Amino acid sequence: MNRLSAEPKQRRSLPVIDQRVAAMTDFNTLPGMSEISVQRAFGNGGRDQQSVFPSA
Amino acid sequence: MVGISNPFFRLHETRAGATTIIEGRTYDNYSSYDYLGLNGHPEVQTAAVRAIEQYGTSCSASRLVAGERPLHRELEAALAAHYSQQTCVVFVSGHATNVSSIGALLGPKDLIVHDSLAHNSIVIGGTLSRAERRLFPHNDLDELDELLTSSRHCYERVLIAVEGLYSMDGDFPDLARLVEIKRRHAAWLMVDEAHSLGVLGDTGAGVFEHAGVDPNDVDIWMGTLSKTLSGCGGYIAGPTVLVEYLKFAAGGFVFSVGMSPPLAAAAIAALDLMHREPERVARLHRNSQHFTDRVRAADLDIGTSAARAVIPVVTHNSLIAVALGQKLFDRGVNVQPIIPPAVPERSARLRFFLTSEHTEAQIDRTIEAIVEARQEIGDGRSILIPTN
Repeated sequence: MNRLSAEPKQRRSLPVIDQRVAAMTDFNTLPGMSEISVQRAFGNGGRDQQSVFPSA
Repeated sequence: MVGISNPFFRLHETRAGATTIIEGRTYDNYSSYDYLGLNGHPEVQTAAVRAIEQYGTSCSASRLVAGERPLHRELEAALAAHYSQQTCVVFVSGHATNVSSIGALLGPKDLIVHDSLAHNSIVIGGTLSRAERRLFPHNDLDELDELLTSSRHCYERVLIAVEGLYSMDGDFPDLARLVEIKRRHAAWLMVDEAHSLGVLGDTGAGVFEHAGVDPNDVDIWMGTLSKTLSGCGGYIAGPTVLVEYLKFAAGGFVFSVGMSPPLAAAAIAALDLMHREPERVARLHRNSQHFTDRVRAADLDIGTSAARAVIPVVTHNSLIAVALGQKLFDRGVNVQPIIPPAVPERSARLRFFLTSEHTEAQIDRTIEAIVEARQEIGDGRSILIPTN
């Protein structure tokens, strides 16, 4: 038995393409999310009212 | 058209529910979506009046800039709780809810696949999004599965859009199977509950209650406030991240005025009544079944209707549908003829909307009127050749 075959095989739960497709059901991955990052930083649709800027 | 009055834009002179008044005459009315008879309920009216007294009739501008009212948050929390979802956002138009939400969620690399009888707002939303738009034959989930099996890999995001209860045919999809399909193909499932809220399920909770499906298994719940909930507008209930996104990205929300306070208050009160008084839903189901039994006994065609509030009487021929509608109107029954292009060729119909407030006597005399009028029309030649 050579060294390589002695190493445990790493298991992949899903092929890469499936993981990419699966990520497409995550609303966080919507392309438009980056455009509203400032608004989202306020949290809860802007209702939480905390500042997006770190306090001095 | 000779002898046939315009059936569109009829002027109702009262609250149009199970009965209405048109040009001073009282009609048995089957053209109202007030499924549980809550429009005009004292609690609904009082809530609306109190809202006007406190906040006025308008929010004047978008909620982003002109701010919210407590009623907006209360209504959204109630709807989110109804669907066991994290949160909800309400729009001022049901049509705009679908158009704006679908338009904002999908892009050119994506696919929307919807039932062939899906509402115009779903179609327009798909077009606006610039996603590929495909449709599957009405309620044919084998075809949907096959379509996704062969083409899912060509797209990034995929949205399956269906209705909880189809407003032209009165039937509904197999929700449990849809959930299984959307999971297997890594797609979102959006269910439009415009006509199923208040109608399907023992308590009227909607198609998920009827199907015994966990509402969390559906990604996007959409519905309208104008039918069972006696208001105006639409909603999306779902995960916080989705709703947050729509609040800043869906043009129909961002650039539209906030919901009028009395309409929000009316919808809150109506939803509360629906939850407290499930006997209304039971009455609606009884009325729907009675109407269906009588229509079937008269050997009339109701298509694929599931006997839940929306029951078409299919005449197939457009002229016969219009003439039958007129003859019923003459007999004191107000019902709308539906003809192409609203429905496919050769599937013209009269579309009856039952409510919890119809009486058995009303239904019985309506069926008798249909049978009588249908016999008068016969094969339809009498419509074209006036008899003097």
